[in-house]
Amino acid sequence: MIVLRPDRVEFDGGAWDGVVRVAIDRVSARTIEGYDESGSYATFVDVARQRVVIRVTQEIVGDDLEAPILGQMGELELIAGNGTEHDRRRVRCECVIESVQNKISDYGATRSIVMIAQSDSGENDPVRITNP
Amino acid sequence: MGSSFKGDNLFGSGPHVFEVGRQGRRIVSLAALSGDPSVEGTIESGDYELRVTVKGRLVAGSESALWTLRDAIAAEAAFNVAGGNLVDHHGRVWNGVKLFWVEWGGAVDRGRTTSIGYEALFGVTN
Repeated sequence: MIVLRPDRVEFDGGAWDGVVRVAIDRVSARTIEGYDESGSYATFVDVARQRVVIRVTQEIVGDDLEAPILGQMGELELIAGNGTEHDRRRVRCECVIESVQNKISDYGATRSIVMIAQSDSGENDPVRITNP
Repeated sequence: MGSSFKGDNLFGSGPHVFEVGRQGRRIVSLAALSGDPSVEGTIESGDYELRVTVKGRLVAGSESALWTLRDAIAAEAAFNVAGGNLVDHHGRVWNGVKLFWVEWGGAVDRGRTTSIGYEALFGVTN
């Protein structure tokens, strides 16, 4: 899932300005492959554990001394849309900040915040998409 | 072709393979037999007993269904349960083997399915 230039991004109740993109990736944390004696291909594949990784990229203008704290947990909420009210969607999930990295070049500065989503129950998708 | 033990499809819910253990003469050191490490040499002491290991994964649609599969295998490993014929995917038959034990491969995995890995050791005793 990719959201380019979301209308609004908040984390733990505080606004994050200058967000240019949010990517929500899903990767396996435990893949099971089973083989039997009929041939060389797997006859059973399942993903028993999965990580939902959220990457928020911010453009930073000027000094910024208030970087998010690693391990901090909060609700990430963003409003995604294509400029029309009809297409707007609210994306929410509880997540924990895993890394904060800054890049500075002659053209400006960006901050990349990586978060891991946390489910309230192992069987529920931590990412909830609703109408605003 | 499906595998079976005593005619039951114990392992067919998921992928599994058969491994045959060491075969041939059993060589024993005289030092081990006598308890005296200074004794040199070895002797032949019969043949290795048959051992066949089934390694695989039980796959079910629910926790309770998985427990049913697990319990059916564990019941065959209980003391005084009679042996029977073990048949692999290709029709190879090992006659009169017992299920000695089954060992579960850690925690249950819960993804699209509910599953768990296992190793089950079959063999004969003389």
